[in-house]
Amino acid sequence: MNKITTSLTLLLLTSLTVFGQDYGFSKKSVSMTVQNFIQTNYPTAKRLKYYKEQENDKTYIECEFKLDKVEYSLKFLADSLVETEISIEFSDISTNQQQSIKASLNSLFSKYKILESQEVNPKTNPLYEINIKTKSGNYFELFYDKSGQLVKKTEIFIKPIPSQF
Amino acid sequence: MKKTALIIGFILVCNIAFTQNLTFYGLLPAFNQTGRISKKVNYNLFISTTIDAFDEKINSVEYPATDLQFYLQPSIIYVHSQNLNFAGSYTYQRNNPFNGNFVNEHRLWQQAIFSFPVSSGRLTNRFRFEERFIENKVTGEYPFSTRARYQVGFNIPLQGRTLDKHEFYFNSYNEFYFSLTGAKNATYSENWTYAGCGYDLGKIGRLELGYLFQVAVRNTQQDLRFLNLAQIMWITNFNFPKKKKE
Repeated sequence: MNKITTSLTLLLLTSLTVFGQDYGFSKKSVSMTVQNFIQTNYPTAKRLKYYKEQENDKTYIECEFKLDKVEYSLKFLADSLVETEISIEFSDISTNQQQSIKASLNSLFSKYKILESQEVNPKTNPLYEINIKTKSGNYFELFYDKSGQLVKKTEIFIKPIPSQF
Repeated sequence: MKKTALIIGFILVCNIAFTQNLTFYGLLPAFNQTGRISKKVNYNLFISTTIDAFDEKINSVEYPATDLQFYLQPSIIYVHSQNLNFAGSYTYQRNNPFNGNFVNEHRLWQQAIFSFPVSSGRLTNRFRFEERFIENKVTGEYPFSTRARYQVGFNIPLQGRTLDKHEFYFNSYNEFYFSLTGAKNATYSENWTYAGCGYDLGKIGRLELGYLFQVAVRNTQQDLRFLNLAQIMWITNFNFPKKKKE
């Protein structure tokens, strides 16, 4: 019984120690430069959440929030803003751009469903990010410029759900 | 009178002995490799061994430390979507692998896993149906039995929304085992509870350490066997590089 108690206590302590790290990334851990940037540019932002993300050996800080019922995601590298993503409805894209994007999608896929649309870096290098699921169940991420021309197409490989024993 | 007292005493001792639950402590090292065959189809190879690490003496019966089980489970996974997977396997299990009284088991199973996000983590529901062929050492035959398992699990990255290189995660599950047909000690015959923390090592996979508590009904008198295991698992996700077309 003592062995069980000791094992459980150790496991609980380990879990608590790890949980006590930067899950959700508290505001205190975010530099004042980043916080001031958001406060200045998005003063009425609500439900701010910070995350630390690792990509190609670089550590980014991501900030997600809602502003006027629109979802924003800002990505910072060393306190500098590197990417802005704004969730939009596909129907919010101008008619001409919509038609160009749809024509491109129709030429690439026989049947597909648009899962999510985002406006990327609207003030610097504006792009539309369109996430789709094809009829055969494959997922793609496509980037279009403001004229509706395809810039990048990436297939998203879905990993199996982990299972043991 | 003395005879009666002796008989009663004997019955009591027998009862105590027969209703004895057994508790063991040990280790469970495991290896888990997943790779891609095609966009939708993956394979998995899971190998483990269950080690009873300490000698125990329960009711004057010696239970020496030993390897209790060797488990080899190759499986094919069909990734229907991010939330739904199907899998099938032939699994080989050998109980008491290094003793003369080893028992082989050949098993086929089919499973469905349904998973969905909860908070920043993921809740998984796994339904597995097993067709078991367990060796009978007396007859030398492999009588057929079936078992259903339901596992509910939860895993969550501990440093961000996704599990990245050099980050920790938490994993836990509880699994209910129901013996349906064939030889069985009880219908609700086994229960496994697991909780552990893992660390992403980068290219060489993940290392997960946890506590696994197995409860099994060990006889028709409904006596139980408790196994307290420190589970250490190396999880890899290697894919063979595709040959570039000339």
